[in-house]
Parts: sequence; C-alpha cells; structure tokens
Amino acid sequence: MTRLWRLSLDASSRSALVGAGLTALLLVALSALLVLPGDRGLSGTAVVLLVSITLVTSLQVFIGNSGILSFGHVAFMGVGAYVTALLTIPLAIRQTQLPDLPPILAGIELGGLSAVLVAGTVCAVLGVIVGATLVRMPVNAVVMATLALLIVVFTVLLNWQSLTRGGQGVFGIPRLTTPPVALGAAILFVVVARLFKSSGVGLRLRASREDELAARAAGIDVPRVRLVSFTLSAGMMGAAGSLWALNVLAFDPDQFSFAMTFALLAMLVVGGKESVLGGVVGAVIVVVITELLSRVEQGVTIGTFELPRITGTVQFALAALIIASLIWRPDGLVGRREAEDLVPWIRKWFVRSRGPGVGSVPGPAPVPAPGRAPLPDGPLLTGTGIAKAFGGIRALAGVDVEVRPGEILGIIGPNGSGKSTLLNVLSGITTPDAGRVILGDEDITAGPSHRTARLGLTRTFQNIRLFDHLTVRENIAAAHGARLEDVDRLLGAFDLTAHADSAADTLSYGQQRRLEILRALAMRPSVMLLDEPAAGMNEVESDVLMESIRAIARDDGCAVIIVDHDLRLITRLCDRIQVLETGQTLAVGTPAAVVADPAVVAAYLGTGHGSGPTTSTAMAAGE
Amino acid sequence: MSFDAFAQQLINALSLGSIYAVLALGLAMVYSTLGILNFAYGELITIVGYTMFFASEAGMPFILMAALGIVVAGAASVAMQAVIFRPLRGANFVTLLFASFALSQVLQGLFRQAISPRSKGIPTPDLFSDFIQIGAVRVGVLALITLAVALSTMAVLLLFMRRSRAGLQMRAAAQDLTTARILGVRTDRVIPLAFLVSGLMAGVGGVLWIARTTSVNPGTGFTPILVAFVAIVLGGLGSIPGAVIGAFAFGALEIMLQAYLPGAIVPFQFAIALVAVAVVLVVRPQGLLGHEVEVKV
Repeated sequence: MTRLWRLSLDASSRSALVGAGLTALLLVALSALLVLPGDRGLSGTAVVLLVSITLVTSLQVFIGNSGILSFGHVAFMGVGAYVTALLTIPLAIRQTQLPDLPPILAGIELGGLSAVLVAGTVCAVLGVIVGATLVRMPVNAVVMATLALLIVVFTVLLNWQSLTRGGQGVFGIPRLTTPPVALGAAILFVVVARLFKSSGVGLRLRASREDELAARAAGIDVPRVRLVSFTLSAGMMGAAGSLWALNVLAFDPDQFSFAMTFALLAMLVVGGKESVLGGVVGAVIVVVITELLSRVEQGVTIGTFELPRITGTVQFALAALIIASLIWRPDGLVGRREAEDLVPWIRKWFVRSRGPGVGSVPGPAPVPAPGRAPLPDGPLLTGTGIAKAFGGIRALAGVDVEVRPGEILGIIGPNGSGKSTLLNVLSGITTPDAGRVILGDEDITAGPSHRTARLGLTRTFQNIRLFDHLTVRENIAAAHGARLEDVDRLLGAFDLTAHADSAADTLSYGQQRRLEILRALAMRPSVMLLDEPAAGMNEVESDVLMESIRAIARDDGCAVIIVDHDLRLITRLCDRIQVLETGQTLAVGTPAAVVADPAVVAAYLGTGHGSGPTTSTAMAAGE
Repeated sequence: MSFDAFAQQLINALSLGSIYAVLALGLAMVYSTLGILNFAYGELITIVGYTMFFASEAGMPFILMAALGIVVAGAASVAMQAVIFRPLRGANFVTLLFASFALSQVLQGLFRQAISPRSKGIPTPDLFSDFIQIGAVRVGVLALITLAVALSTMAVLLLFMRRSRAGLQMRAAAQDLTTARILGVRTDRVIPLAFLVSGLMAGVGGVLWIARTTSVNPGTGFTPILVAFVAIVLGGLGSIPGAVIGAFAFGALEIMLQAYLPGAIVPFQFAIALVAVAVVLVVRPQGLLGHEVEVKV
C-alpha cells in the first residue's frame, strides 16, 4: 500500500495534498469556532460559508487555471439546485406544487448523497456540451458566451413552468446539508481542486493561461484541456448547487442570476483567483461581510445610535471590495500562493520524508518520443511553394525550404523578408494560402500547431514566450511528452538546476532564452526552429549557445532551422544558408557560396561595397 | 404568410436591428481602440432612461429629454473612464472586465437605492404609436423614426471616423496604440474621446430603446448590453462592420422568432435566439466577419 502511494504520487501532488490538508485544517477550525458555541445563527453561518467554499472552489477550477472569466457557472449551480429539488422534495408536497411533472420525476424520491451525485453528473454532461462550443471560440468571446449561457438557463428555469413553477419557486426541500456534511463536502472540493491544479491537465491548462500560443507550440491541445476543466468545474458547480439547495430549502430562478455570480466572483478576485486557498479566503471575507451587513440592513442599534435601514449595502460593499482589490492587490490577498507555500517548513519536511522522487514533476507517463519518425535519408522537413498574404501584403510568395536530419539551416534576410512568417507556417501557427509542408511522411500544412509539435517539430520565439508565472521545472514539464527523468538532466545540461523552482519571469534574459530552448528540446523533436536565439547575447554567450545547438544536431540527429541577424553565428554554425527577400528565396547554399553571391551582397549592402564574411558586422547592422 | 406581413416584419426587424447596431458600435468602439469591454455600458442606457424620466417630470418636451439623455450618457461614459479605467491603466482584459462589472453593480444598487427598484414610466409623443399605410403594408411611425435616426447616427459616425483628424487618430490607435503614440497621437485625449463617442452612441441607442420600451428601471441596461455583446461576438470580435452586421442579424432573428414561433414557446424566444447564435459560432468560431491577423511572435 505504501509503495503504491509512493509510486502514484510525485512530489508536486504530495505538496498539493499537504496544501489541501492545511486548508482543510483551517476549515475544521473555522467550523468548530462557529458551531461549537451552539448558537443556531452561527452554525447556520458556518454552513453558508462551507457551501460558499464548495461553490467558489468549483469556479476556481475553471477560471483560476484557465484564466478565462466565466459569468455562466451560476447556471450550473441553478440546474444542480433544481435537479435536487425535483429529486428530494417529499412526494406529497411535490404533487401539490408541481402537478404536471412527467411521471418519472413525480415518483422518485432520493436521499441527499444520491441527489448531489445526480446533480453533479447532469451538470458535467451539460458542461461537456456547452464547453465543446466555448473552447473553439476566441478567449474574449468566451466571456460573453458564458454570459449568454447564464441568460439562456435563467430563461428556461423561469419559463419551464411544469418543471420549475417559474417565478414562484420551489419549496419543501429537506435540510440535509448539516454542518458535518458541509464540512466534509468543502474539504473534498478543496482536495479535488488542489489535486487538479497540480495534475498534468491542470499544469498544461495553467501553461495555456500564461501564453496560449506558446502552449500550443509546446504540443498542448489547448481546447481539450480547457474542455476537461470546464466539464469538471461544471460538474462540481452542479454538486455544490445541490448542497446549497439542501441548505436553503426554498428558492426561485432569481437566485441564479447576477447577484450570485457577483458574490462568487468577488470571493475569487478578493482572495486570489489563481489559488485554491485564495477562493477559501475570499469566501470567508465575503460571507463575513454579507452576514454583518445583512444584520445592518435589518436595522441595528449601536448604543444610542440607531442606524437607518439601508438595502443593497452588501452589493455596494462587494463592489467597493472588488474595485479596491483590483487596484491595490490585483492578484488577490493570497496571490498565487497555496497553503503549503505559507508554511514552507511543513512542505519541506513532508516532501523530504518521502524518499525518492523528490523534485520530480507531474507529467504524462513515460512514453516514447511522440510520433518521431525513423531518420530518413532524404529531407526530413519539406516546404514547397509556400505563399501567404496578410490583407494586401504578400509576406511569402512561393518559398521552398528543406532540411535533412542533423543539418543546420540558417535563414537570413532583411526585416519584412518573410522569415518569421515562414517559421510560423512551418510550425503550424499560420496556415499558408498555397504550398505544402511535409514532416517525415505527414502533411502538416494545416497544423494545428500542437499537432505539428507532437509530430516532432518544435520551436522557440523571437520575443521569448515562457509560461511566466510557472516554475522553470513546470515550464518544461508542461511540454507534451516531456519525461520526468529528462527534465533534471536537461536542467543540469543547461545550467538551470539552481533555479528549478523559481518562477520563469524571475530568470535573467539569457536564462530565459535557454529555458525556452530547453522546453522545445524536452519534446525530443526531430526538427527544431530557433527564432533569433542569440538576440541580445554577447559573444561568449552566443558561442556557448552555438556549441549547444551543434550538439543537438550532431548527437540527436535533430534538424535545426535557425533565424538570426548575427551573421558571425550563422556563417559559422550553419551547413546551409537560405536568404529571403520580399517573400522569395534570393539564394541558398553553403555559407561561403551564399556570402559571395553577388545578388546577396547587392541586397544587403547595395553594389559597390566589399564582400565576403568579413563584412558580417556591417551586414548585421544593415538589418 | 403573405408578402405584406413579411414586409411589415422586415421593417420591424431592421428597426430593432438598427438600435442594436448603434449600441453595439458604441461598445465595439472602445473594445477595438483600447481592448476594453465595458460591462457598465448597459448602465449608460439606464442613465439615459432616468435622465429622460426626470426631464419629463420637469416638463420638458420629448426632443429636449432625448437631447439631454444623450449628453448625460456621453458625460457619464467619460466619467467612467476617469474613475475606473484610468486608475487601472495597463491592467489586462479580465481585470478591466471585472472592474466594470463591479461598477455596473454599484450603479444598479445606486439606482435602486436613490430612485426606486420599480419601473418608472416615460411619456413618449402620441405620434410614436401611429401607423402609416404604404400600399398594403402598415408600418409603425416609431419603427421608421428609429431606422432614420439610427442610420443617420451611423453615417455621422462614419464621416467622423473617416474625415476628421480626431477620427483618424482613433483609427490609428485602434490599429496599434503604441505606434500611434510614438507618432504623436496623444493617448490622454484619444482615450477619453473614445469613451465620449461610445457614450454618445449609448445615448442615441438608449433614447431609441427607451422610446420603444417607454419605461426605465435599475436593470434596464441589461438586455441592450447583452445584445450588444452578442452582436459583436457574432459579427467578429474587433471588427466594427462586423458589430453592425451582427446587430442587424440578431435583431432580425429576434423579430422573426417572435413572429413565427408557436405561442407556447414565445417566452423562450430570447434564449432560442442566443442558442442560434451559439450554433453559428460553432461553425464560425471567429464570427461572421472575424478575420485572421498576422501573429506577432
């Protein structure tokens, strides 16, 4: 048993469990504080708080990890609540309330646990259907689509009279969410959310939150990981809505509209949306404020002062809280930290005491390099007749390119000559208007870029694109097919071991460049595209880089295509050079031949200047 | 279904679509210039409603009520920029959306608290409920006025954006804010200007909306902003012509569903329209006119 435990849980899941455990202790303490005095009002508040935690944690699973705002999750809460009402209201009461129920619903009476499970399942199914539509849309459009979801479900709840009684609402739901049930549920939700965050899908989802384009280029199927989290989150929300219904006992559709959405989002923003603990802390703050103010709203006498009754104070207070926290603490009170980060010594002790596997990261199980074809003799990557126009601008006008295993191909050309567009087409980010791209024996012309990456073509970007708020190790582990045992070796080889647990955005510029190459390498590519890897490096640094690139090509037989302005580096490093100008190939051949080519010299320097490799600085400056 | 009835519905659809188009343009203006989706845009329409209500209480004629409503909406939009968006300059899309969502809740609370949670009626000229007979087709006067006002507003906006210096600067900022700034476009003027234009569009759209609904309550702004959201997503986020086309398409969808759905399903009309839009977006996730832009990597 112990062995299994060790095998199945790596360090990151273990520290997630530690964090969830600490958060659970916090919940137990809070509940004890509220319930033990025996005051009915206070223990009612405890249940409200714990149920709010299940709701906000469900929301956090999607919003926190994907970085996509959803106004629509309360719709799942509503569906969960109504499903629960229809399954748990005693049959006699149900008959008088809803005489027109279909027979199947008129005859079933379930217990609390079954109702919660059914509600969760129904919402997860709904979540798959809705999510499959959402994840195909541009991110900013998703936000608006979730708003539409809220309205559609609200309209249905309000008008499907035979099932919901419309605006009159339903009543008579048994009170099954007792304080112990609520506490157990809240702990379970926190554990699930925390483990999901550290899981492979959670990690890849967080990578897509940091940089969607880079995530795709790292082989991550972004719509898929979004769909998984949306479904999980919807299912949890449905179950949480069920628990909520089993506590409030009577409700109507109005409760699943903006006021609720607003309160839940306030919890996330104020506490910290990227952290599970943040949601919990936010729930505590919002519930406390709401409870206090609702007492004020009923009129409070403090000493001789009698405060006037003010309705809507809660709404004002929450709005003020949101705006203030967006201005002064945009990442929320706890920021990106989790419970275990607040008590570092506990985590260290726990993780160390578990023996081997320390420092490993989550990721898919070890698999052979994805889709890597055996090295063919001929060209590995072939692009033919590639053309691409943006509006009226022809970025590429029929370019051929090919590279063989172990070969290093340099691509140079003035700004606007089409170098970057060519790399984008080859890596599947941009679909060309004409032409084909073949990798091994796969046609990769139409991408999508995560497929291209999985087939063995990986890349770096001109403006470094890392997953800024993930650690160095997570940056690599997020890449598709990155193997646990490779990560440590690569970190060592690229001199980044000391920074393994630092956030990527805290690295120096040179380290960030190296990390990006590392991430591309972790997928064990057969072709690597490097977009200006030496930009901003001094000669010593670029010499080290050059040596690493040579080793990649020589040792692994990886084909490398490199775009750079540093002609010294390009001419010394590359087997062949291809010169682009205005979207066409000006010359292609060995470095010596290309540099001596009169057309190239003319393009770079104008005629009448000297030629040859010695002019490299002038040529680079000409860029 | 006779041709005459269809023609009548068509004019209704165009009329409703043109209100939506004006509203969507105001929202899309700020989105495409600054990348901000102003959730509190709907409250501008509510503000138009209350301004018109108080103006009518003060005994003003409809035309003055309308003019005042438009001016106040423009001013309120500029004020929103100063109070909410300027302190959060540089924040990302989601943060700004959150902030404007909070602002919209504050404003709704304020209306409920300071005015009334109930609807207030707004008198409109009797003329608006008249009909004109054109051949066999009976057309509402209000529909025609709406269509005329909305189309001329869009024409004025087009002229402003194409011909004026300020319009040129706004288009430049929409293309590339940083470059526009380097080339001497003053963002401290362009940003409030974008909000002013957006507010004025909300003003005109709001007046037309209020003339149609003849009442105002704290939640008045919700349906129009939701439709404006849907229109710009349907048209293609970031595309101004797309917003207009999306708005007309949604208006037409709504009117046609209203006219031809069986009675029992009519309450679901709005929901069905939204689901129909979702179906379109499954086929074209980038929207009707959404187009590919060069990826900057």
